[in-house]
Amino acid sequence: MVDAGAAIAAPAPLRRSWRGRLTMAPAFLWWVVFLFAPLALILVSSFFKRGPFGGVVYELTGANFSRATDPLYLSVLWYSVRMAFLATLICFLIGYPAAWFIATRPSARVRNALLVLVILPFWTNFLIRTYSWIVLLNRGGVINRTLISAGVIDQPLPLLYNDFAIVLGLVYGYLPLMILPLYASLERLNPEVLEAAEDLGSRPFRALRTVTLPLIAPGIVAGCVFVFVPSLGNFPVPQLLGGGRRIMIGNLINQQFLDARDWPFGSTLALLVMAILLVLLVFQSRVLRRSREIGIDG
Amino acid sequence: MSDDGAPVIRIEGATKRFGDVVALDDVSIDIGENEFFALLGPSGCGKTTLLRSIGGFEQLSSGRILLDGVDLGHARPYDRPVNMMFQSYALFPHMTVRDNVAYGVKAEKLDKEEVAARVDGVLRTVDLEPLADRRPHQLSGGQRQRVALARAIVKRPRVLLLDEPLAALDRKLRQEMQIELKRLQHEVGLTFIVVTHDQEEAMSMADRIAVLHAGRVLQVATPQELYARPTDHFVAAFIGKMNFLPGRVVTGGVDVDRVGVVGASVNGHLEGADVWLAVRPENARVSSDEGTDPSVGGVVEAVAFVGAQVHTHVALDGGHGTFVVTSPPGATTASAGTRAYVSWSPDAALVLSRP
Amino acid sequence: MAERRRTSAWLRVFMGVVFVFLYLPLIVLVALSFNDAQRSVVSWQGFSVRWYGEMVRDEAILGAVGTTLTIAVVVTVIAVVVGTLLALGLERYTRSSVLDGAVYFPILVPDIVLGIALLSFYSIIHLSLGIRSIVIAHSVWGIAFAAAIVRTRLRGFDRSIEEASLDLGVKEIPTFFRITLPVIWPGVLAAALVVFTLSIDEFVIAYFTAGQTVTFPIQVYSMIRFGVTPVINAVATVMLAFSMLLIVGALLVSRPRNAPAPTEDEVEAEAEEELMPA
Repeated sequence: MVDAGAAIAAPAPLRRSWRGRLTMAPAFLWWVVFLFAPLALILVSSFFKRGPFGGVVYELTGANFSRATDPLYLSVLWYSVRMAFLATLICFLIGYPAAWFIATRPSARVRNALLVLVILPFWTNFLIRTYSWIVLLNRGGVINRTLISAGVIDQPLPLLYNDFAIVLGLVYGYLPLMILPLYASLERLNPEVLEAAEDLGSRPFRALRTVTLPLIAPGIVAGCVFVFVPSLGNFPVPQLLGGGRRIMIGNLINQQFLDARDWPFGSTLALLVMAILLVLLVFQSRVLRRSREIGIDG
Repeated sequence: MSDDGAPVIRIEGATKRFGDVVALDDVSIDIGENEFFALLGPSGCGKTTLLRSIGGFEQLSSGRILLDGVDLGHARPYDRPVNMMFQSYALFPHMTVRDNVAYGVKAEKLDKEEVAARVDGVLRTVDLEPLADRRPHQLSGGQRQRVALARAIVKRPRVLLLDEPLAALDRKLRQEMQIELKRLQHEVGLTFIVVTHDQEEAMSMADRIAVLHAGRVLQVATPQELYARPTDHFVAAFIGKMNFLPGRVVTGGVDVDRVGVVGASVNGHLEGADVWLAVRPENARVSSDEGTDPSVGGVVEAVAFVGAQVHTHVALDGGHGTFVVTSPPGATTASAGTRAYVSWSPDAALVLSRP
Repeated sequence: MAERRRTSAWLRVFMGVVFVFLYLPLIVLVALSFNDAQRSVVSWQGFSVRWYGEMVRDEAILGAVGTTLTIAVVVTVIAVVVGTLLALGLERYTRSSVLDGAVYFPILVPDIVLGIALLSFYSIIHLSLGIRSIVIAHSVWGIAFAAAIVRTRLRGFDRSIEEASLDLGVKEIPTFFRITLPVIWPGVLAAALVVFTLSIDEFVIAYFTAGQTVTFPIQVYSMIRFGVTPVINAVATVMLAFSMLLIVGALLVSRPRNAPAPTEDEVEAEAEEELMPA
């Protein structure tokens, strides 16, 4: 029973046919034109001025960048980073035990079923899911009404149109994206490593901190990036759940592009978001590389 | 060889390089009509590369392959009247057995009745008719193999290539299939070229065998000749079991290191050349006295009764390791720890170059 | 990893809470869509399907649905075709890990950045905003998703069946359509379902690149912002049901069938079973 498997497992010799490489051409062509060119365009736009009626005037200026460092905008950016960070942290605190639970179910069927159940809401419309929280969190909404009629509180709680609602909306939107990579990393973890740690005297929490977490680092980092980045650039959630009173950088970009029609400045702000993304990606690849070196296939 | 003696397949100076690795090094072999021919060797020796080159899945770096005298050149697999049975069987998972077998014949643009007739005929030949509507995942390993065979045979190729046909089968099935393949080859009347790493398999099935090692052909001969008269140390060691003693050629024999001159036929070897003196276990005898035949002394290490044979292990003088002597049961045995002589008749020993 | 000791009760409770958290909003929405109330009142007034009736009569909604479906179909075709080719190329014709990673980049780019980048780009090349511009935008990430999904199907692919096809007399391109494609078909189908679902649900990129066109998510967005009637609950429920069906379909289709080959004895036993009267 050995050799048939070996025949399939041995990597097929790479045929250096240009015809084969052609199969990748349409995709990369599409991306060069409709992804990289537009991204390059906003990079370039941030160096230009806004025209009188919107649009771009091709005069070089650094004004956009200095404007972006205005405390007003920096505070928006800082607020966005804080909210995204909070959302990521909460997603991790919820997602890690959840991923652990799923990974430790003995039956593969149960594990798969649980994963499907976790992912399913994610595949539905983000707006709809955000809207559903409005219904729940409103002063006259389901949660308040239930609490009041149960006699727990007298006055409705201010659950909507504040930071709480925004973080909640973000967590709800992206939680599955934290659970999946964590699950993938946990599933690969050899339980004997943990048992060895405990055997050598580590109490469970220390074992968790010094053994488990480092070993699943790739999964943690991936989950954090998948939650942080979309949260940072999100604009429907702060708009709908934050009541428009708190703006994150996504709202700002939206405003600049569609209301103020200041495309160059909007591009500058978008560049900021991209810069943060790139920094995170570099960090992620470093973590990945170090993990591979010590033998974990994240 | 075919009627007019011309080989069906002639491989001339085939060389194949993968980057720095030389997989085939100037290989030349002739294979005749209706031969059951085996390419035998350890993994990495180039036998699969050679097979794939005949099939059109690899292109030679230099040299050529002729089929019925015509250079196959760069012809694609579908343009060659040659078919292959793959090691993994490569059955089409989304098709029934019948569709799998019919696949290649349909590509020949024959009319429907002809296709059906041929397919049914082959299914009967390999005894797969009752399974014709099953899919590969519903078949056992042996059944899948028969489908793979049928699929290739139905095309009536000039040559059928088989890549490690028995490797994936369990032992019992393997022995049955060895006989089955021989029978099939005779019945259908095809030339078979089989690649295998198992020398017992090659020896029992093939008419002639080419032994390959590190991309080179070491010897091409019938099984009997390969066994009795290997021309190379590697071939001698690879086929069956062999005892080796290192030494140098002197007049009338071999001066075995640290032992002395042992008589042997040294025709064709230069005086002073480094050689191996090789003796098959069953051609040697153990006795307490030296006798007149060529012999070497030593101490009996162990005597083992293995089924129908007695294996005597002797630690020879000169520190050349353990010499194994096989004898039929009932032969007088020496006891472990005693001093004895291992001897053989002069023409039973082989003298092989030792580079 | 799955052979651990008994799980603490707390963890089970926690998981229960997590699932309540994930599904409660959706359940509430569905319940409300059947609520026979005048305005967006959150108390139960009785069962009714009138909101569904109103939804189906609402021309704006119907128009948006039509637009969205059209876009999704075109995007799916483009993404699956281009993405499958890309997956083949990556799996077989290159060993570059850089290219491998590059495929995930379109998925990572924040949708707002992609949205405004394309908006700027479209104005430069004078491409009018509408269905076409949305299709192009969605295809950018659609191709990446399709490629990633088909790629996983290609990993265990036994290429010797393609060689066998060539050996039996069929040329390369027919071999692709008769052998390769049918075998990777579940992956292709799963990719199609996923891309389709994502496209019908996608809001932000469409929002920027749609111009005057209204897709369904954009319609929903205006309804949430400007005029919330209970019709929106019906709308939400239908969208939920539809998306979930598609995704469950995708998962079912792409389940791997990795049964090991039965032994001779097993096959004989099975054959005997078949012969015996049921």
